[in-house]
Amino acid sequence: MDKPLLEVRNLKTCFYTEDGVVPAIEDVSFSLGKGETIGIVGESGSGKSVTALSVMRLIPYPPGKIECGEIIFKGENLLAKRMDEMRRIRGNDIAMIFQEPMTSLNPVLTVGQQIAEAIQLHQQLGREDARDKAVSMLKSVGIPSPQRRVDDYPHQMSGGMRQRVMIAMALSCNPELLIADEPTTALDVTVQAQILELMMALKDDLGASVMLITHDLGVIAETADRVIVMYAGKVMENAGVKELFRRPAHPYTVGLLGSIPNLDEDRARLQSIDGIVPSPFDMPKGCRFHPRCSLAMDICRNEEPGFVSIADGHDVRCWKYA
Amino acid sequence: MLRFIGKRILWMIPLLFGVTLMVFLILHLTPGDPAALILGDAADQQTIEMLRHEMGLDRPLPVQYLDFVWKAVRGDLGTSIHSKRPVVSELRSRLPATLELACTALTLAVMIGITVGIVSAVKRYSAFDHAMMLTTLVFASMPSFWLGLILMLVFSVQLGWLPAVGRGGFVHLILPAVTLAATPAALIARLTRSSMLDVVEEDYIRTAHAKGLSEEVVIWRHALKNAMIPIITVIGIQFGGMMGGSVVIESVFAWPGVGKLMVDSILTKNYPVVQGGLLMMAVIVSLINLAVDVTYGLLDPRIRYE
Repeated sequence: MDKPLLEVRNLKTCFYTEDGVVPAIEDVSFSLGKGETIGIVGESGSGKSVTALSVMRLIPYPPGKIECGEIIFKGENLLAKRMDEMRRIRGNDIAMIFQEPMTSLNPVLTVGQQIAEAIQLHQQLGREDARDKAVSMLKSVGIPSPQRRVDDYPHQMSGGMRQRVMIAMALSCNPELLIADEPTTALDVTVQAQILELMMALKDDLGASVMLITHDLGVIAETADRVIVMYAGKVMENAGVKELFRRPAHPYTVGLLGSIPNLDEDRARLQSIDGIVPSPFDMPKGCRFHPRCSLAMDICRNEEPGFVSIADGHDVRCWKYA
Repeated sequence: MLRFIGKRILWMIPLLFGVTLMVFLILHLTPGDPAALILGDAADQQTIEMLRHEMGLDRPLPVQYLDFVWKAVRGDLGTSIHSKRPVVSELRSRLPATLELACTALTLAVMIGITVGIVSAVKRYSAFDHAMMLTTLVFASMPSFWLGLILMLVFSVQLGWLPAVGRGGFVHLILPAVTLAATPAALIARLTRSSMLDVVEEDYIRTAHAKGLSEEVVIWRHALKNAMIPIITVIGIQFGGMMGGSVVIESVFAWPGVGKLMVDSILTKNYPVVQGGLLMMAVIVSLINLAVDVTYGLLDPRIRYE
């Protein structure tokens, strides 16, 4: 395999709150090849978004701080970069799409201005050229009459349209890595598929890699090449998408997959995972999942499991396999 | 937009009726007789009655009020009891001084207030922020006449750098303008800080950072315009207050503006001047409010005037 485009090693990001230091993610490692799509799944509070924002180095400081680890992008450690070097990478080499299209666009600037400013910044185009590029980007994300809509303000557009604008903005500088943080969660179901399809098609055109954050395993199944499953700030399982759906190893992954409705099966009730995600202030000793795990053994309650490789490219953090 | 402005100007008519009526009643129902004041203690009752008749003060109140309004509509605000000059020309000769003072103070307050507010917000919890929040708290709570007296003592009396009273060139303007600007500047700074802190938490600010924009561009282009809406409201209110409320400052610094004229006229019960002056202030404050409302629309495209 070629050298990966992005390699995250042992990343740890903490938040310094009044009630103490909270590690939001710990020991997060994964790698992403060129053109590949990695899905990051997990419940709310599992650390998915913090992982994404850490890669962009957009964790608000204070209170957040990346404590240790490495983020190797194209062979260089992003954590060693100065802020001005980071700014040249953001929006240019690595772009991000956020969850809420309603609030992620500036209400007092036209969508054209918002797309054009990244183009002007990174591609050294003049105002007119940047605007033309913005129009063509709007066209490429399927916005009708882009020549006219370029002067619209975000509130004049629907949620789906705004997310298209976000995609146009993110892809305007041909990034090599696109981070999409729950890009379809806030949208109508009918629009979700369109947006995903559009995003993946444009990604293929650009040959970009995608880090797709979602809690929707259906989305993962359709789009991702690899999956990492996060729970309470840690990666629990890391596998190819087919392997993960065929042979989920971690009890948490098994639980997640069991909670998806399946029309082919005649099942009376959906499975659910009992209990809730532990508070970061009160992490259970041993495996973080053990209070909710039906298979928990003594060792799970006392010692934290490390990663175990159960197949080629399939790692799991569980004592069951140790 | 033009329809909105036209409608708002029409709405000013009932408003101004209300203002004139209130001013008229307050002036006429409070004790004190202008005729007696003019003639002094030595005058006998008969002379006073004659003067009252001459001035039309013996007519029924509704008649006096309608007479005032009818003349005001045609641009005649009556005659000053003391100077015998038309009130309109009295006001006109004083207005430039008030405008000069209020506009200078407003410019100062806005420039200082917004800059301090932004820097405090960007450097939240820094030494600068703490120092500025304490300073602005002091200025926001300090009575302006007291600040004026202190400044006068230090810079005019002790150091002798600046003239204490009167109107002249730029040097005369410094002390009253600084005094008048102090409280609004402090309020604008505090509001700008809190408004900016609200805005920088917004998702679109994160988006702007994710594009690789520099901190300066994010603050000035993305945050400030959004943060300005509540600030504009306060600037408008402060400007209205400066126009009318410079009464105290104008008295302290003997600044020959409308405020000083009003105080002198109230003390001598020169009610045509008081009535006319208040009417003019009401018009000016309404126009400032209209300007504020129009500015909202320029700042925020989501605000439309129907």
